[in-house]
Order: sequence, then C-alpha cells, then structure tokens
Amino acid sequence: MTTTILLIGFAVVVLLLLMRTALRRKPVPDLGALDAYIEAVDLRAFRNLIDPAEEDYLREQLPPGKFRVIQRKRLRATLEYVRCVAGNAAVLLRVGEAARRDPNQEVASAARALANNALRLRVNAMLAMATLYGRLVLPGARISVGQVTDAYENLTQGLVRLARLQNPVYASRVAAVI
Amino acid sequence: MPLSATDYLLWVTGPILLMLTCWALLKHRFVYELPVFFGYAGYHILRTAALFGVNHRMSYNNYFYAFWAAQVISLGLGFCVIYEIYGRVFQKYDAIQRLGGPLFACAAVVLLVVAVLAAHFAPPGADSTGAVGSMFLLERSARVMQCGLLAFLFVLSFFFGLPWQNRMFGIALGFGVYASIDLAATALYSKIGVSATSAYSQVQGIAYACGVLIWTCYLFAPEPVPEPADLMFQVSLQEWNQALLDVWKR
Repeated sequence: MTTTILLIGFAVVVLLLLMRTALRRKPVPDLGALDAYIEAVDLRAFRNLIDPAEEDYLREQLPPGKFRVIQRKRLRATLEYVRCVAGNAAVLLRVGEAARRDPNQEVASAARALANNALRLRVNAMLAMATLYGRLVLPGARISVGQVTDAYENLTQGLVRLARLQNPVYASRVAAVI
Repeated sequence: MPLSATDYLLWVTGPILLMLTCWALLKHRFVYELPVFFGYAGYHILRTAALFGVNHRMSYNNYFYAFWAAQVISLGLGFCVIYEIYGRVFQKYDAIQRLGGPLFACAAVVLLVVAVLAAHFAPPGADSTGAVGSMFLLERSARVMQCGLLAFLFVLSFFFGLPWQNRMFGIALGFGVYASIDLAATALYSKIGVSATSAYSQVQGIAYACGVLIWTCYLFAPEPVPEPADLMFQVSLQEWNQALLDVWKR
C-alpha cells in the first residue's frame, strides 16, 4: 500500500511540476523594456566583496568569531549579487534565443553567441551559489567565484552588440540598464 | 468485448486529434525536427485502427495479445520520443549540446533502479497474476521512468534557465500529463483489481486524449515572434562597422 501511495504521490508531483511550468512560462523580453526584467548589478561592489585581499585583511584584523559573523554577512550579500546575475543570465538567454531566429545572419550569429555566453554564465552562477551556500556553513574556507564577474562582463558586451545590431536606438539604454 | 458510448468516444477522439497533430507537424515543417515523435503519432493512429478491427472481428484472447504487443511497442517509442526531446532541448547550445544524451542515460539508469524497486515492493494486485500482472508491472515501471525523465528535463531547464520553444514545450507537457495520470491510474488499479477495469480504461483514455489535445493545441498555436526582431533597422554598412568597433573597444 505504501508503494502505491508513493507512486501516486510521485505522479501528482510530476503533474503539478508540469502545470506550474506551463502556467509560469516567462515571455521574451523586449530590448526596449529590458529594465523591467533585468536587475542592475554593481560589478565594482561585487568584485570588492569577493576580493581575496579584502578577505585576508578582515581575517587578520578581526578575532575569529567576529570574522565569521562579518564573513557570513558578506557571503549573503555576494549570494544576492550572484542570484541577480543568474536571473539576468536567464533573461539574456531568452533574448538571445528569440533573436537567433532573425533572418539577418549577422543578428542571428550575435544572438547565438549571446545565448551561449548567457548559458555559461548561468551555469557558473548556479555553481557559485552552491559554493556560497557551502561557505555560509564554513565561512573560513577559501572559494573563488571570480569567474562569475568575468563572465558577466563578457555577457553584457554581447548583449550591447546584439542591441546595436537589432536596434541601435536601444543600445545605449541596454548598456545603462545592465 | 462490449464497449460503452464513452469507450467509443474516447477510442475515436485520440486518432482524430493525432491526425490533426500530424497535419500540424507537416504544415509547420516540424516533422524534420521531431521525426521520432511524428512516427510515434503515426504509429498510434494505425494501432488504434488495428486494435479496433481486432476487437470487433476476433476473439478476446487475440485482442488481449494484440493490445499488449502494441502497448510494449508504444512504451518503447515513448522513450525514444523523450530522448529526442532531450536532444533537441540541449543541442542548440554549444556549452551543453553534448549533455543531452549522457543526462538522459544517467537519469534513465537511476529511474530504472527506482522502477525495479517499486516493482519489487509493490507487486501487481492479487487479481492480476501471470501475464496480465507482468504487463501491468512493465507498464507501471515504464511510466515511472517516463515521468521521472520528463520531470528531470523540466528541472534541468529551470537550472540552466533554458527557454523552451513553444511547440517543443507542448509536446513534453502533453507527454508528461498523459504519463503521470496513467501512472497514478495504473498504481491505483493494481491495488483495486479487476472490479475497476472499466473505470481504469476510461481514465486511461481520458488521460491519453488530454495529452494529445495538448499536443494539438500547442502545435496549431503560432510560435510567438520576438518583438526585437521586428525592430530591425536598415542601417548602412558604415554604421554597422562603427557599431561593431564600439563594441570591441569596450
């Protein structure tokens, strides 16, 4: 009887997952209204948060207990940044995916590059999030998430290029938003 | 075997919707992208017609063996369709295009173990023994794997943030709805036994019709055209070059 209930429960969970995905599918963002979908990321502040020199300085200056408390706060802030980056990557992936069907080969090629970069960034960001959650448990451990900032910078350049190719009017606006 | 009006209705609904599905696949040239799914749909149209003939002209024994033979082929083709969807979802992206096959294989192995364990701990009901019991176990185990594979695909696309092509999403959704309802119905039927045969077969028919209806709706709905592509300007070559130079200078 238990296995029957488990099987029915599994089927219901799968059905609910499918329904939820179907009802909450996100639209393709319009480049002109990208600011409604993108959360601005202050890369400078983000880099500062993950700077190993900054961490070393705090480690040397603060007693271990105090350092762990401060480090946890910094990690939570870093997590927020990475979460924003992951969300932005998903939005840009949709932008790139939609534009790759463009009849203009140059636009389609720029869109393909944007989609691939966005996907790499998304994967890096998700792995970085897992790492950061691990560090929240062990705030003393040294783990780098620097790849995310570099990949994010590459990605924003890719989006500006696509925006220029598709609609130059939006290019500066897109650059400002991201 | 005597059939009720509901049985006849369900029997006819599936193939009609499947014919529309096939027509939509051909109309949108989607058949080149999903040839296995097209084959699956075609097979089910022929299967229904053949089983209908066997049911009306031959003995129940003949129908029984014909039905289960056709069902085994259908379950096998179902796995091929899910594999095809995995391939299509991942192949567009250079970074993960080779992941589709290995991820499908890993998930299939894990789910096979789960299905075997489920079969071991929950054998078919007391009413279902011998060949019937084995076939129910097979169907239930296959549905466990199909549901798991589709759920895993949806979780992966959430993890990667992959946007689904509207029609591809519809096919995965329809398949998932059918497989999950069928799994629940089969699990429950195994427990209740032959007294629920009529209700079980009708629930199966309704689940199948729902799945096919989802395919038909998604395949006939126009693929949303992204607005940015419509905003394309006719710019001169010089402007293009300048724009590209500006990007590289950043």
